[in-house]
Amino acid sequence: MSVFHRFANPNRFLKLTNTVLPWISGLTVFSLFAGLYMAFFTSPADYQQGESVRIMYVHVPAAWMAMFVYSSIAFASVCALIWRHPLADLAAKASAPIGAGFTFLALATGALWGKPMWGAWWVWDARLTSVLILFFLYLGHMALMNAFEDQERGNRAAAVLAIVGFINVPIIKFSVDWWNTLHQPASVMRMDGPSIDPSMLWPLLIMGVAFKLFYLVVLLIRIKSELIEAKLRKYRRALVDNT
Amino acid sequence: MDQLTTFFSMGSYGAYVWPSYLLTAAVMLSLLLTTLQRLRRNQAELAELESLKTVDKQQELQEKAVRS
Amino acid sequence: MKAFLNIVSRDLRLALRQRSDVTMAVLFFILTTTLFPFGLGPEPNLLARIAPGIIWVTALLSVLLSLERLFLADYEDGSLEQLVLSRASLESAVLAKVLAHWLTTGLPLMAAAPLIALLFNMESDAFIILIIAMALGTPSLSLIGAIAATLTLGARRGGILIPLLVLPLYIPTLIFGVGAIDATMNSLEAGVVLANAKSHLMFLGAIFLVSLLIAPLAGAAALRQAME
Repeated sequence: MSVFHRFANPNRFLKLTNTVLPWISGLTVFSLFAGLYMAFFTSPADYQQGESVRIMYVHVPAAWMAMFVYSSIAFASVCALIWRHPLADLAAKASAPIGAGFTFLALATGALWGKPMWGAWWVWDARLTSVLILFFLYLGHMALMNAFEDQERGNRAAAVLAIVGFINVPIIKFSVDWWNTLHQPASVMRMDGPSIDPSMLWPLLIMGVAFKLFYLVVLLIRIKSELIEAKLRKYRRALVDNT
Repeated sequence: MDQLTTFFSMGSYGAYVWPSYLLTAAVMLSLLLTTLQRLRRNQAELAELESLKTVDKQQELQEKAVRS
Repeated sequence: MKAFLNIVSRDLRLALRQRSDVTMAVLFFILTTTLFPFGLGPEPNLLARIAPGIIWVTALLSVLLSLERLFLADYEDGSLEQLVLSRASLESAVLAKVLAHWLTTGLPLMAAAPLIALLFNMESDAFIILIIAMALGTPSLSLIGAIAATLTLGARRGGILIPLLVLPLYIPTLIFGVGAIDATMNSLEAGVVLANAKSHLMFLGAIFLVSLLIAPLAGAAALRQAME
């Protein structure tokens, strides 16, 4: 835990953030453009799905992010509740809208991919359904966080909810898979991971890295902003007390 | 020119591929921009309050000097 | 243990005194389920096929209706604060509240479900599975609901917040609850019937055990936060 506590100090965190932020931002832009270039120019069209397969390079990374950010929130919530780590609350709070954004993207691009492939904007496919439920979990988390006059209480309540939700994610995933095999969907396109061709795997992985870096950049800026807000609140209180 | 049109038509899937990318760009950009905007606003407000504080201190010093 | 029984009996007495609270959930359940034949037409086969889903979804909504008041009265009259200050085990207090809630909501719903099944022409073989599924599933609904009810104490938008928090967490119970009854109705051989329903019922039981473990911990943590 000592590594954590070293960065628990907000000033040290700010210093570190300010030095690494330009580098990560540069890396994000670079990987994003490299990924886009490969997605459009070096990767082939799929022999079954044609050019529509290019939607995969934003859809799949967005879906990865949906789960990754939720896990990060749950991890930050554990740190916030058990070790009362001062930055963990801020990290969870700053992550939620980003995760919700990516989850929305996974759903919307899924619909845009589903229309030409399945002939419908939405099918109750196991993966789509689980992501939809994950989106609801995000909405609940954000709503609970902002439902209290006292921000501290909102953060605490949202942390408990995030942990409960995280325990539930595998249960929900399992039950939805089960439900889906029982009700035999008409035609489900399978995108099995390892069998994918390297010429498609590379752009996918690079886009995945780019999305993760983007998350990191926005997260760091948001935490920085939250820290300044905390300072502002302290100043305002001092001003009120003086007068 | 022909190459461009074939590129944008995406094998007749253009109507699905381009909105996907545009939507992704829109969501990611708006996340980034709102975040930056909030940071700027907070930084500006902090700078203002801090300058106020130093003015207060100067006034205090002046008042002390006058009294003595 | 004594404190546990005290809370249960006090809540039951309160619920019996204000009879409208107990009857509201069941009444809502019966009224809403009887709307479906009007919306879908009176065709008996169709109604029999969708009966499990309608019964479970409506039961879920009925439980939802009663969740807001689960801890609110105790929160407002200060008895929760006393409970936290008394250093009694909050985990067992949450369990006691949940038990009282289930006795006044889940149990009446369970009793009313066969009646609805009858109105929907469900096969009589499936009745016993329906009751077992409800017996295993409704306690989970109360347990998970208690987490949301404690987390939203003192929140600005308690009313809409609880459904948003709770419904995603209810989905596994809904899936296996409906699945158990569907399995009974869809299969032809008697041996397969039981085997199919059994796996669903076991999952319902597993969900119950997991919620039994998590809900008191999360609920107690939320109560402590609410009183800070």
